[in-house]
Amino acid sequence: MDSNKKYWKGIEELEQTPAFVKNSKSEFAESLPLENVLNEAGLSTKTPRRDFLKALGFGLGAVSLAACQSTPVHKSIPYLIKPEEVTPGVPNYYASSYKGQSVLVKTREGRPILIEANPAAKGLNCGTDAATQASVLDLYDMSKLKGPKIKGKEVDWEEVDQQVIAALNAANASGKGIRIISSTINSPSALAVIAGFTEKYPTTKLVQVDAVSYAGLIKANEANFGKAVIPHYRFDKAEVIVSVDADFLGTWLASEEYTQQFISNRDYKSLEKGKMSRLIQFETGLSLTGSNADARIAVKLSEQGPVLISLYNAITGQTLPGGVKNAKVEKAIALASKELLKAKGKALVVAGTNDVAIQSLTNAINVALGSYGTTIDLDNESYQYKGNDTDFADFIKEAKAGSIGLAFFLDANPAYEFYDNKGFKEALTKVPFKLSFSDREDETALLTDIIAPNHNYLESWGDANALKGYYTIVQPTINPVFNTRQAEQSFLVWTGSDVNYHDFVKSYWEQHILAGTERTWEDVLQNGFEYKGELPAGVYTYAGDVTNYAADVVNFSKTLAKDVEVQLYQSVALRDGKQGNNAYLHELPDPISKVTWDNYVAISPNYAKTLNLGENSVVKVTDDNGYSIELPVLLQPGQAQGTVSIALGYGRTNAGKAGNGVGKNAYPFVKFANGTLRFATTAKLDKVADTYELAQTQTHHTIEGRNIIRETTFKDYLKDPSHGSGKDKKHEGYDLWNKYESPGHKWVMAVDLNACTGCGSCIVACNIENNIPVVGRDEVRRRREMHWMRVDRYYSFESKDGEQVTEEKELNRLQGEDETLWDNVSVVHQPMMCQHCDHAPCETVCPVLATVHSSEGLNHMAYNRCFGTRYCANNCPYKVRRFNWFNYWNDSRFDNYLNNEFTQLVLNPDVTSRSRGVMEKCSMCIQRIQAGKLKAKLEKRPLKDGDITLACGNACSANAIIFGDLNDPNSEVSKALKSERVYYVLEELNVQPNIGYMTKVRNSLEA
Amino acid sequence: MSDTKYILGHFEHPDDLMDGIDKLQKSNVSIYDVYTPMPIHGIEAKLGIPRSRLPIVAFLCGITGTISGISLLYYTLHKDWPMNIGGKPTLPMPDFVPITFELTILFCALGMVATFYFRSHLFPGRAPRVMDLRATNDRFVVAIDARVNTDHEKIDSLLKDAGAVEVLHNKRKYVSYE
Amino acid sequence: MSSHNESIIREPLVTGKNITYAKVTDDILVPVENKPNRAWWIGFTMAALGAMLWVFSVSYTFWTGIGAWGLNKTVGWAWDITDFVWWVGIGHAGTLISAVLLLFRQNWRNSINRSAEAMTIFAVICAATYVVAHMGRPWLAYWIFPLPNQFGSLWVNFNSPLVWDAFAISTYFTVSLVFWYTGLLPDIATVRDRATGLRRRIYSVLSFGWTGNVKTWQRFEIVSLILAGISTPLVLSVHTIVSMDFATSLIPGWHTTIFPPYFVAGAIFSGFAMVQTLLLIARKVLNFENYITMFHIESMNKIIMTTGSIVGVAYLTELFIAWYSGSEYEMAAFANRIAGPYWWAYWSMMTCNVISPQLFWFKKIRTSIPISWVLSIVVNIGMWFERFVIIVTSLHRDFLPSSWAMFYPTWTDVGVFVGSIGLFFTLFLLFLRVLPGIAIAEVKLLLHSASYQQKLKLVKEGHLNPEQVKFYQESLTKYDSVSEEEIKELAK
Repeated sequence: MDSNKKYWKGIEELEQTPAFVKNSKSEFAESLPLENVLNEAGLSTKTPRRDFLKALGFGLGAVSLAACQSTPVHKSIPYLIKPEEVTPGVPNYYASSYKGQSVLVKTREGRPILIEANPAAKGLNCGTDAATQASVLDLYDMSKLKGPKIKGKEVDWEEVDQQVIAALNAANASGKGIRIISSTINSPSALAVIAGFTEKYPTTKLVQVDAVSYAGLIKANEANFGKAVIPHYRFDKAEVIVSVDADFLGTWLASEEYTQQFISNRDYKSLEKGKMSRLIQFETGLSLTGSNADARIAVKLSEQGPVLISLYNAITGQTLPGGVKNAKVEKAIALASKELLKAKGKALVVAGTNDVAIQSLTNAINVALGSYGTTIDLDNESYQYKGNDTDFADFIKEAKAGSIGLAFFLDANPAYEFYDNKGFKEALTKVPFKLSFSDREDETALLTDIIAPNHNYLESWGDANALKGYYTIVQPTINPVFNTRQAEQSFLVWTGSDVNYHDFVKSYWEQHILAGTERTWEDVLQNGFEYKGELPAGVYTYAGDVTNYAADVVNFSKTLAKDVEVQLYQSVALRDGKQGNNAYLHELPDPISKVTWDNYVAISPNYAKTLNLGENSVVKVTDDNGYSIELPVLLQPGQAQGTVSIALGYGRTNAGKAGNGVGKNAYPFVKFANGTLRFATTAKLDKVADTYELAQTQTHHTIEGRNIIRETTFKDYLKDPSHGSGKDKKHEGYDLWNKYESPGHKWVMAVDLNACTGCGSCIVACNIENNIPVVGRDEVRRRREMHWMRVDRYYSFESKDGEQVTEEKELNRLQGEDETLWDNVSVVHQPMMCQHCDHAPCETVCPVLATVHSSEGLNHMAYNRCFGTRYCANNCPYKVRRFNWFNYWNDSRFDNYLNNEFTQLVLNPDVTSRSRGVMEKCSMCIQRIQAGKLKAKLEKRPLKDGDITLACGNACSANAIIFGDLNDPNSEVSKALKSERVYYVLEELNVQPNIGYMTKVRNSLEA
Repeated sequence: MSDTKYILGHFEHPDDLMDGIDKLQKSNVSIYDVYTPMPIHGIEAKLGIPRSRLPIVAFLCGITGTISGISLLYYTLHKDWPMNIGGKPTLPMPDFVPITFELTILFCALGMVATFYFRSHLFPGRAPRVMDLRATNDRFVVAIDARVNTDHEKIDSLLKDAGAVEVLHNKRKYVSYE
Repeated sequence: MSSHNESIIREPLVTGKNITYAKVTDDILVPVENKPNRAWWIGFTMAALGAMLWVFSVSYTFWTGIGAWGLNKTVGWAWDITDFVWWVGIGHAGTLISAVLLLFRQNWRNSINRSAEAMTIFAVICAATYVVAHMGRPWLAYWIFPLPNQFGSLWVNFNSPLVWDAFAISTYFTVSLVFWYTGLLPDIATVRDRATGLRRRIYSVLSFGWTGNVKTWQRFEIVSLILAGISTPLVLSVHTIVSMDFATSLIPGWHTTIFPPYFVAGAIFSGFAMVQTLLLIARKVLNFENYITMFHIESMNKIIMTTGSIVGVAYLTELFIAWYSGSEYEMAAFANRIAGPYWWAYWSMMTCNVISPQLFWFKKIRTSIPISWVLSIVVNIGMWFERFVIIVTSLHRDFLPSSWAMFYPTWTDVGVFVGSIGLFFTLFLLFLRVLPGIAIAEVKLLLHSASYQQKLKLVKEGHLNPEQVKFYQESLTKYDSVSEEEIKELAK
């Protein structure tokens, strides 16, 4: 039986007395005496002791409880809603492209951390240059703007749009010009956007201007072949190459692709086929290309033109006046022309200058050599540089005239990189409305009314078309970090279209690029590019009067006939200076001078003596416009007498924390003559009283006759492939102990000295992959750079009587009597990193077993165990161990880039960042090895050769660094190490290094 | 019967002391102990004190050191966690020599000295059992138990003609250090 | 009873007339039992300032990191290890005097061993500070010892000379300390029995209750003898092992089998020089002329001269072997020492260590106190340079020219070194105040055999070969503590 008992609070409830009913409604049974507390009397009454104590007690309790709250705890929150493609700890790769090169972007937990070449890509499919490697750091640059700004004050995009559209309409109404000043745009979609924009605002004109321009080459081709293009050079098809001051392995045009092509005729594979091309370089400053040349002849800037005239004469048998007057050079030209003619159809002559006449002359020579259609491809032209110097000159004229209403600056920074920046600034004052898309307040942005910060390319959608028929995609790998907007998107908005740029690109591709192919947008996103195939070679007849060109050349040379000839060049690391705030690039030593964190005046030691300049002295360089900068002197062997070379791209004033005030700006020395920018000029040098020490990572430049570098000539190589490798006098090696076996894998490396050009992109790649700190100029001066991987550069000199001088003592003795000694320099680059010796001297001496040997032949380094006696570093014959002298990654004194949480996002989570007092060194990218093994294991298959690549090898376009498993007889590395050219550095010490080097082979030019 | 506990003969010259000891022993006076500011050679023979066995202790401790050294190295480097250190074998005998040697010395020295302190009751804070304050300075003191040897006058005279500069009849055994 | 009278032709080790056991005690305990004089205060203040500089420099290094020093990727050791080896070397003289000379029954050691051993201990302390200070992560210094740890069975690398070093240095320090303190017990007892009040209490604790009865003396002597016996190989092993830090490596200029003997000789050389530097001052300021006599000074100078020559021979041998080996790296290394950028270091080493001690062939110089003192300092400068040359000039230009670099010291380098000297003298001066600077008991042993007055007595007794007496008389002329009259007195 269910109980239906009822309980009452009291008799009132049972009876439901009206009083009870009334009270039960209110919260408190009897009303609180609030009034008489709150009225005058109540407030004036003294608090009774008990109440006071109660209140006090409660107060204390409450306060002390509140105080128990410990310091705020920062919880790291895991993915709440995890994007299904992201697995923490497993990297994702996305196809994208940078400067027209198709690349793969490695992302971890949604942040890009490494750029690699797209192995499927057309053309450059292995390796990237240093700048590309370093570009990932630009994404995490603290100096970037957090959002749009109007006149220095932060605003939102709506306001920007209102003002811009207003200004646009005003300009339209008044019929004033609208100009988009930009460095070369080869993105079809972007151009389409701008076209649409131009439709809406008809006075719009796109002015493309490149800081370092190739307009001369384009104009020459227009004049000679009626095609205003940069041809596609094919160094892989050239057997003999004569380059007049074209640094095509370093900075000239598509240098990285050219490196790949050039090396394909020189690396160990080609040598084994008995093939090797020959490079003859006539140049002023010692460039990266010059350092890899088989024969290098130092010529003045004013001799470059005449050299080509003589070459033309020698090849065509004509007698143009104004040939070069210099016995040594003439002899070289005779030999060179002989070689070129021998290799007719497989020959190539390139000139680095931006002068139309010289380029036309070069074209004439190439025509005579039948290079067109073979080594030069005019039909599949390159769109990398379309800048037109005259257009920009016109813009300035118009602006000064006040006929420009609106100027947009897209990826262009004329206030810094235009030679006449005074004139430019003045012109800009006449432009009522100026807008910059710069991602930071750079030199130009500061002069504009609005800064509408653009995305970093890793945040953007887009595409590129660097080569005819070759389209690459740009896809974002991270959400925009700051409140930025892609420039193209902005243009779309201002055009009045509400389409989002991603859709725009997609539809553009589907309509134009993918039309007619069965490939879809998704396919493109996966492989990153679309290639339409090469067009067949057309027939071109050379138009233009060579004699006139010769005359121009002679005149131009005359203009250089006063004071000191100054060559303005791009440094391999910083190029035109657009990445001026990139600490990785600043600390990347110059391949030749090994100088970091500065530009300088490179001058030949002899010539320096005549001006009584020496190491560490400072000169004032003044050109005839009166612009002058003070720069330290670098004694550069191989620099032509009577000339100096100064790197562009330095001296940024508004690049950001790391880049501001590094070096001096040399752009103002650039001259503008017959429609092109000239990077050759003259200046006065005056010694300045004070001294300045350049931060060099290498201060001794010869091998002191030691056999750490072994080289031979191609002639000897053909006779005996092992020539010069020291194989001939091989001694029996003895071992005190039994060898340790490597049952599983045995990781080794082969370095091809003949392939390595010394460009140094491996160094940057290693920095990024292994979280190696940038230490800054002063620490480099103290010789404390942290690079795990370095490229040693050694000079050797040929004395008058033809023998090679590699010892400092000998040099000092000779330099007195032999004045041409410093000019006859030959260079060799040797990548040097931990040799992972099987009898590692470092392991024996470490007191705490912080470094021991693995069963896979690796020399391990346990950071946690190391307490920093530095004995291992002392005992390392290769000096490849690096010590953390300070807490570089968070120490305000080394705030180059890493001392903020934002930039630290660039760190590779697979590699710990080392604390102060710990030794570190090349680990052969052990994290990559482990990842590779794990992947194979998960896929239940044995590890294949090529599954694992190292950061350095991966960045090398020349395939000079070959890594793999020695236990696998078919791996590329085991094959490579079987080559007769292989030798081991310091093998006589019997430390048994695991990194084999292949002899340097020179295809030297004999008379 | 006097309440003299100990008779102390003070000598200024070790030779006199030896002389005194001879005299006392000739007349069968048993000597309690001798306190000198410096070691006296040949005295222990006179007093019939046996040779010290500390050398044996030293040897044993040394051997212990050697053994523990070797076994430590063997265990850590070879047994517990053998590693490839610069391609060297895990039992690099030459590399074991220095540490084994050092440990031998260390054990030997510490063991022997510890035994010495223990047997001679030397340790920090031990109240010094000093019979005469000048025994550590310039007096060679021979102590005679006055209870055992009752003929005090004879002892006095013996000491005196042996050249004792002073003869004390102490009622307390030790100098108070309170 | 003149059984232990030694031959008259031996020079006296204790001079001065009517020296009694009491006088010995009184003389030696003067500094311990009285207030320090001005000279001491001046010295102590300077030393203390130095010590403070040391504290500051070391703390600064710990705070900012080893980067505070001038080291770089190529030169990983410079002043730190130079100073370390320098101090360890200096330490060796003490043990040598107390142990080796005891074994050889060289009685003249009795009056100098005490302070020499003290010097050893302080020098080793200074050296030990560098072992810790030069580490990148000094707070983990204890990892050098094979301790069970949370990392599982992770031991230390017994192949590494640095581990040998750690064992050698700590053993050496312990044994020297024990040896020294055991020797101190009788003297502390002496102080105790003369002191009153609190001093008496303190010294009574320190004296371990020493009474000086026969059995204890017997054991005492056995212990001293055996300690001497084991300290001798120990002291040799220590610097041998220090030298192996370099000898077992493969850096040209380090990779040398001659190092052990050469380092030991160098150590004795610098150690005696330091003893000389200290005692020449101490004996004057503390009026120990009668106990540390010209004979002591001359003997030490002779040892300095001998070891100096040994070191010189070693230098030349190195050069010869470098040439004879035919190894280009070896030759380059030594060519670089002689004529490279650090030539001045090499040549100061040569002058100070090889040339200057040769002056001691002349008795005049050997027995001149000011010159001996100056030379003793010159020698230690030279020995510092020796270590600098070995370490820096070998490292800064090794195999691959690409990594050749220079080393320039920073103020911290200098501060740590100068400071450590201050620390050393602070400790030594304190020692002179609280403990007898000369082994009282051991000197008393000499009083009736090798003292001037004893020999005077013999001469007075007559029946000695007059030629020998004459010889003895002449030998006294060099003593600064023996007056003309005292010499004449012998003639009577």
